[in-house]
Amino acid sequence: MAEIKKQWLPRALAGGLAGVAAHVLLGYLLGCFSLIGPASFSGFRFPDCRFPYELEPLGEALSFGLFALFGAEVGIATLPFADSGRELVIHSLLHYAVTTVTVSVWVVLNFGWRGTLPGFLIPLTLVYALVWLVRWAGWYRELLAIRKKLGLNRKKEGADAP
Amino acid sequence: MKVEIQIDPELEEPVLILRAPSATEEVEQLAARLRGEAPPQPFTVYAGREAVRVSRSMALRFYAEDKGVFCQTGRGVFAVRQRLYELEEELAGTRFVRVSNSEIVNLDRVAGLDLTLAGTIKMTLEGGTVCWVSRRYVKKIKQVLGL
Repeated sequence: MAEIKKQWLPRALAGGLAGVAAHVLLGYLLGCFSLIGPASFSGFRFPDCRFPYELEPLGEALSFGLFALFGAEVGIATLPFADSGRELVIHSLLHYAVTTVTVSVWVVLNFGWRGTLPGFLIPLTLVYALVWLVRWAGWYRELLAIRKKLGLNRKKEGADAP
Repeated sequence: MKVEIQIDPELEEPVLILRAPSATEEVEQLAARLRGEAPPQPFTVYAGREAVRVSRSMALRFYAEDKGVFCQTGRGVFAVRQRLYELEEELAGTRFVRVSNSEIVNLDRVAGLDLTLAGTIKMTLEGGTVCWVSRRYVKKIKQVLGL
């Protein structure tokens, strides 16, 4: 547990920085976006959370903050898997809930309530399910190796034989 | 005891296979002698005030419960006067391995392993006793098994 506590801060910081970098990249891509004519960079355009004109810098800062928070959450995403049993389930669900809230706040602020939210939350949920499945498959492979070493597979085969 | 010698010219060195109906203390001591090791000492456990000697192969698990440490065998449960961490140190390098904060099991007496959705391993010992393996101790099991 102490080891996990030591790990979470550097991971969260690295993830937060990656989140900021991703937001800068998004600002660049939005700056390249053009409805008419070929795409060309016309300066960074960061999401401003649809704040009024005079508060746009605050909206952009909030968007940066939410990206940093999301990055930090992704950075510590694998730590709950170091736990076991009930702790693992509780920590994973808690992580999923916090990440969902972060993404939802950013999406609702920038795109409103209608329509867009499921387009972000469904892929997020699928990624969670996929990560869990991959981790579980890894645990199962480990279990098969232990069973084999203990000779338990052989017993099972013998039991299944007519 | 029946002794049988089979000559196999394809072998590079002699291989001794000891076959027995069960892993008794006598079998363990014989195996240790053949390996050139000191025979494993039986455990001293307590049934009330009476000290009882239990061979290593008889022990299913050691576990901590209500501030006491106990040894479960096929014949019953006995009190142990050592702490769990002392037993863990004493049994290092053997087939006894810690599987959780409160249990050390004899891997030779494991009858089944299953995985829960949360990644915890359900370990069933001979006789049906169920232990839960914490994920943080899986690494130790793998080390003991050479995985």
